Amino acid sequence: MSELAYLTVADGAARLRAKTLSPVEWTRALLARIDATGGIYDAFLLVMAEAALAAAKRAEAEIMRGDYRGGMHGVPYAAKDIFDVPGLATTCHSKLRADHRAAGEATAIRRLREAGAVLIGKLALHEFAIGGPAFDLPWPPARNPWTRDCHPGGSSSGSGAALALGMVPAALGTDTGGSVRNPATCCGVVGLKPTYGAVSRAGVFPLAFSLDHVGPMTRTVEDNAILYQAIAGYDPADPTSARREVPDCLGAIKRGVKGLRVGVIEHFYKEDTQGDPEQVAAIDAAVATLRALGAEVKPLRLAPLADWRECNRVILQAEAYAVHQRDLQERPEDYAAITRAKLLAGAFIPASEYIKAQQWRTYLARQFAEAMRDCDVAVTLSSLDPPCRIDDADAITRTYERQCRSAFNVTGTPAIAVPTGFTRDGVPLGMQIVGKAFDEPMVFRAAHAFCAATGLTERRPPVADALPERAVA
Amino acid sequence: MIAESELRLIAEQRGLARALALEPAVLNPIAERGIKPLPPVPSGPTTEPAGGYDPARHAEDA
Repeated sequence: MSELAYLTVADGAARLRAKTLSPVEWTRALLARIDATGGIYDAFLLVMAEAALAAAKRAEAEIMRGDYRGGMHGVPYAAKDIFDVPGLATTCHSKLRADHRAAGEATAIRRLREAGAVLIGKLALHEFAIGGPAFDLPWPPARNPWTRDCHPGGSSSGSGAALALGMVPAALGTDTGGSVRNPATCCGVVGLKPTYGAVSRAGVFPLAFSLDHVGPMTRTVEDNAILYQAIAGYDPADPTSARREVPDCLGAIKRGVKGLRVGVIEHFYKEDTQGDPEQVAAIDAAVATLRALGAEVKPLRLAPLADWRECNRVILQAEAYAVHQRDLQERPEDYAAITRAKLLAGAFIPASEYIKAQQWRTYLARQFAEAMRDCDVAVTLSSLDPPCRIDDADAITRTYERQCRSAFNVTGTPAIAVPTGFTRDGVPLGMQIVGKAFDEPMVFRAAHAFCAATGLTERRPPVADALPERAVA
Repeated sequence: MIAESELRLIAEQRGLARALALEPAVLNPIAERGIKPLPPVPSGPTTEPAGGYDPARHAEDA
């Protein structure tokens, strides 16, 4: 295996800047890895080898002449196939969009292009970011790199898988009810759902506009902060974009958690519902680690988990149905069965329920803000269960709603998923670290301290070293 | 609780007969929870729905 497969953004950027690594060399190494393993884990829907090498050569020339643009310059990355890239289909992993051609460019893609990053391809997802792993679509579902028979999480499934397999050091995902954090948890990588409005949604196919977030996915917390800094910021093309300066997320990232007040939202997984024993044991150990690092740990009580989940569900289903109504009427056969069933549920939500859910949202978001006055960050589980088998539809349905992520789509506040360990079978476990609105720097700081202490972000799937590689000319 | 036949009628009126024929089971959980109404919003300082309309935004963006 090329040592470049698991090179981090931070280390790679340092070598690129020092001119001891070429963006072309890095891109070629990753293309070779993707070429050799693409058909095994199905993380990519499209590999853009020619365009990626051209972009890498441009970046190389710019860096060689001293025109270095920053932490993403010359860094390869991939995007969930829900972001518009001019001239390419934004398929959303759906037959309905196979013939689509994007005229415009998603703001996040444009910002990364302007930062000199190298787009290497487009990644698998759950159809329209709402389905599930489906075998009745034009492309197969992405697989879990730790155990191929397991669900890699979704909907940004290809993003999680590609990172864990060492195919890219950075990827873009989207998160409406947990779709960045779920695959991050299942694949043992790091995924941030930023504050609503912090990263532009322009040029991203919507699922539910008031809950949709664009989020960075990486293998380390520091890399996540680098990618976040590159894509965040006000964008007039997104009417919900926040007119705020992007804070410095890297300056304080290594300050540790000594003295930080950490709330533990334990009732979500110990009272409101019972988390899987291995998930609970892992987060208990994580909380003990934070305490040992000097954090002041205390319980944090919010409304019961079901209130958050139902609020998210009603808003998500109603808004998603509004997006898909016409296609459900005219081309229902072209959806995967799992997507169709999920979207159809939105047809039966009365306007009064949608309004009530938005009232609940006001109530819950205010409650969270008040509870967080005495905390710098809070922690809770991500998934209540470890990943199930990818071909067990009942288990997928049963476990999909057993999660604590959608609460933070309701609040719109930042939440990062980080690994907490592994099951006896070697499948990743994880938790969330959540913060106050627009306080991504604090979330990164706590997450970095935890991950540095545990070393869990340095673990690779057992298959990582065994995968074959081919040369790319 | 809403009867499944009523839901079927609503779906047909909304042009979803074909979609429903492909996913007949989708009505079961929906009927089971009677479109599961949310509980009343707890009393608080405001009951204003989230995502308020801001007319000034249009002028700023124009």
